[in-house]
This record gives sequence, structure tokens and C-alpha cells, in this order.
Amino acid sequence: MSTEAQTLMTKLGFDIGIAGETGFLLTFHDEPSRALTVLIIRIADNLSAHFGALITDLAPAYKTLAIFYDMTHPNTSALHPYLIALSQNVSLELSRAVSRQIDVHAGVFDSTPDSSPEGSPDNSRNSSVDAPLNTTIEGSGITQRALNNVSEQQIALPVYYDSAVAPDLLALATYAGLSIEQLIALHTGTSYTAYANGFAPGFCYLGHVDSALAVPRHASPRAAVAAGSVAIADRQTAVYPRQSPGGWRIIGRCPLPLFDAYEQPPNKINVGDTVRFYAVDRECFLSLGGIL
Amino acid sequence: MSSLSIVQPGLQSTVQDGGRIGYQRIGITQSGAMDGFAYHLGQRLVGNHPQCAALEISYGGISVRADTDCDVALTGALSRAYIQTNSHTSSGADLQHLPSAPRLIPYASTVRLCAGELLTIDRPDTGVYSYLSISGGIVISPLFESRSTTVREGLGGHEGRVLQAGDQLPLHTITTISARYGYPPFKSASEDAITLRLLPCFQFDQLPEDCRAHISHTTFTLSHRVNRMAACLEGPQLNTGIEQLYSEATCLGAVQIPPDGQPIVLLNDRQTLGGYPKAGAILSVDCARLAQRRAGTKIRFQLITQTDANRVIWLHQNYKRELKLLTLNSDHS
Repeated sequence: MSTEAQTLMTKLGFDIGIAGETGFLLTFHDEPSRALTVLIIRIADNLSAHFGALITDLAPAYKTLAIFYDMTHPNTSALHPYLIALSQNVSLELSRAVSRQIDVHAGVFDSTPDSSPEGSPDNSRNSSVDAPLNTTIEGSGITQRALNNVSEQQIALPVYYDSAVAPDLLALATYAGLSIEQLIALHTGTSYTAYANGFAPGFCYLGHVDSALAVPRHASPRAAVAAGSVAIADRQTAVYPRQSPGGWRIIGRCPLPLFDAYEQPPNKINVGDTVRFYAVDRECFLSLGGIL
Repeated sequence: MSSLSIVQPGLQSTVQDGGRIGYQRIGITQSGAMDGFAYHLGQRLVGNHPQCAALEISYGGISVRADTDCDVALTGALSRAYIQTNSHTSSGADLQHLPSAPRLIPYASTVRLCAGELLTIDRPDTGVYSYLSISGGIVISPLFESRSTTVREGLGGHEGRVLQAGDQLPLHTITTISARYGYPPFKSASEDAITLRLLPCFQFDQLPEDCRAHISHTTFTLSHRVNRMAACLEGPQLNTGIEQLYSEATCLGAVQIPPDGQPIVLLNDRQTLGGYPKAGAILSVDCARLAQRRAGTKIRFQLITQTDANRVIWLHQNYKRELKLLTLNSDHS
């Protein structure tokens, strides 16, 4: 095996820890990236398909996958050995697949975030992501069937960027040394990866925000952030699905609902999706159902 | 359809069941009864399936009335509870309808509540959460496979909120059961110090030695900041030395250590993801014990291996499954 493949194997592997009395926590070695998120979701889908009712919940996040299981299920003891085998196979198979086309290495596993200012999807990168992950991982049960369940929607969300709805817009532009137009161009010019659903139903952590807009959270959170608020914290961006306390910097408001308990799936944005924002004016915001 | 009327709602009463399991993936928290065993016992005492919902009442103070005969059971926090008849009039002007002398109801036993009678649960002497289980359960469509209320998200239960005076909870029309059950009284749950079994995991191995030592050897105090989401503890400042952590899943009982160094035990309504380091997770059975304690309780952590944790859970599951109820004299009128 080449040195590069070995390095990659280390990067791709994961540690198996525990997450409470009936959970495992897989912590991946690599830094968060779209490729890693796709891998995590595929592993989650694989586990669902392989173990069925034994798995009670799976919670993917930036570089972790929590696996919760039913300890009264007869097959419980098979889970840990399976995870060990999976960790070895994932590393090996993926590193082999990638070492066959070593030129894509940088594209796939570079943890530098996407931030192409033109916003054109980088097709070469997308296809290189698919190459290793579509590989059937023998012995670990990753099948094509499981691989098809990854949510990879392209979602475009309208945003009304205006100080009337965004108390931090002006301050953030000043902080970044940008005009509001430049700020909007940077925020709308990036394709974001959905890394994790959490915090509240419908809330989805998106990254990575252009480094020029990276700003820390407020030292003390606001008691109430309006529903639809589009906000930034460090290199993450998100939309608050409903009014809640929050410490992120608010730069706009999205008129569309992001969670509906009676829809399938209930979240508009799911882990693995690609999200882009586009600017709308006040009139359009209102016509889309936005509330000032 | 029959219904249960909320006459006095109490401080914070909600509809809860065994919890919403399987939706953490999409950011939906677990919720469910804070004292799972007390809930389970109550459901058994009135002959219900474990996933029928019950009322969870924090700090008592609730009065309810059903418009049909039903069987009820009170479990959880030890409170004085009683039934009064003929108290239909709210004006109090009608002397013929003054409430009768209160008929005390036994703790953890099947009790007949006749149509029109008023059942009141006082503030408990010890503990926090009481459960009022009603034969047949509360007729609410499950949301994400559960009838539990998550007040913070406005999800589930009765209109996604805390119960208010005047609420009518639908009941099945024929709800009485033929048998009377009882459960041997608990030993008093009034200890002012409890030990929580902590399974070291998440970032435990990355914590500095003195931080780990504090966790296993210090006595913490349960603060006033305690609710269905979490219990905040007070003690020596813990320094995790962990500056940055990508948000990751939490679990029931996870012990978070935020930058102020005061540990927070995450409970049923916790956030599904968190970016603070976690020293591990206390056992789910100990989450219930913690939830029933009031501010000022002394808390210690005892590290436990996964093997021992499994043994405890197995015993608990078995005990729940094989729960032995006493059959009482069915002449209860």
C-alpha cells in the first residue's frame, strides 16, 4: 500500500466510543467535509438496513455518528463486532478506491470548505466524491441499496436581507469590512452542506460560511430570535425554524417554513443536502408568506 | 366521547408516555415521563398498554374530573390525594352540592373515579413528578409515534403545551377494569444525598486528571436550575481543557461541562445535539431518581463499567417486565 493510501486510511477511519448505556459514538478522524458527511450518512443507512429494529436511533453530526440500540433485542451482541469490521473495511476499501485515482485525493478529502464565489457546482469534485463511496464494501454489508438512501437534495432558500428583520446585518458587514451588498454576495455565493439536524426540529447546521463572514456568537444569547431568522456563527449558517433563544448573528429572514410534523420528511433540509440562499426583496418576501 | 376535565392545572402538568424514540436523527427530542418506572407502574395498575399516555404532574396541585367512570392510579412523587363527590357547581352557591368529605386515595393502587367526582393531588411531601394514569389512556393521536408533550417545541400531547384549567382530554368511553391492583409501598425517597452511576464516555478520556478526580470524588449540589431539559449542578469549577468540539449527539443522562465548569445532566427534553464536552452519561434509571430530587440535594457520581451498567439495566428491565402487583379486594366503593 502506498504511503498516501495509508495516510488516507488513517484519515478515513473512525474510533468507536460509547454514548450512554445503549449507544455507540463513532468519531471520524477526518475534519468535517461534504465527503465525510456523505460517508457518515451512508454508514447510518447501512446500519439501519443491516440491523433493522435493533437500531433505535442514529444521530449524524459534523464528524460523528451516534448509534442507539435496543439492548433487549436478541442480536445486540452483533453490533459492536460489526462496527469494528466496518471501521476496518471502510478505511481499507475507501483508501484502495481512492488510491486507484490518487488525483482526486485533494478534491475529496481536502477539508477546506466550498466557497466558490461564482456558485457553480464543482462537478469534478462531486463525481470524485461518488467514486469511492459507491464502492460496495465487501464483508461489511454496504450495498447499493443502502447507498441510495442518502438525502442529496439541492435546496434554494429565499432570504430577505434587511436591517428591518436582521439586527446584526449592519454590524456584521462593518465587522467584516464589507458593504451589505458584498456580504449578501458572499452568503448567497456559497453552496452549503447540511451537516446535522438538531438544536430544534427543522434546524440544520450548514457549512462552511466564507471565512470573511465568520463571526463568533453573541456573548449572551438573545432571549428571542424570530422564526425564519438566517444567522451565522463562526463558519456555520442556519435558519431558525421557529422563535427561540439564540446567540447566532442574524443577517436576514427566510419566509419558508422549515419543519412540518405532518410532512414526510418533516425537515425541509436534511443531512447531506446542498443548500444555497438567494436574496429577495421585501415584496417577494411577503408574497412568499414572510412575516415582518 | 368521554373526557377528563382539568379543573386546576397545577404548576406544570403535561401529557407524557414512554417517550419519542427514534427521531433524534431529525432533531426531535425524546421527552416522555421523567420517572419512567413510576409511569410504567401506573399504566400497569390501570391495565394499560405501556404506550397509553398519562398525566405527568410536577409539584402536585392538580384537580381533575371525568365525565365517565374510570380507574386511575397515582404513582411517582408521594402526595396526599383525595376524591370528592358532588362538586359540579363552580359557583358554590348551591348548598346541596357542597363537596363531600374528601376520600383519601392510596398511593400506587387502582382506584375507581366515578363520573363527576373531583380528584385532587396535593403538593408532594417528597419528590417532584407524580403520574396519574387512567384506564384506557388518553385518546390523543401519536405524533412521531408518541403522545408525549415537548412544550419547548410545541409538539405532541395536548396541543403541544402545558395543561390549563378547562382543558378536556378525550377518554375512551368504557374504561373501567375488573381487577384492583396495588404495589408495595416504596421506601421513602427523601434522602438528601444520592449517588448517580456514571458511565464514562464521550470526552471522558480527554479530560485532565484533576477534572476526572473531581467528578468521581466531589459532592455536587442540585441547583434551582432544574427542569425537564436538564439538571444543573453546583460544585468546584471543572476545567475540561477542551476548547473546541464539533456539535455531536447527546444522550439521556449525558453530563455536559460548559465553560463555567458546572456540570449539567441532560434529561428527557434535552437538545439532541450539543457542542460542550461531556464526561459521560448517568444511567437512565438514575436520571429518574435525579428528576425526583429537589434543589439542594447532594449529588455524587460513581463511575461504572459498561458491563456493570448492562447488568443494572438488565435487572431493571426484567423487574419492570415481571412486575409483581398485589391483587386487592375488588370491593372499592
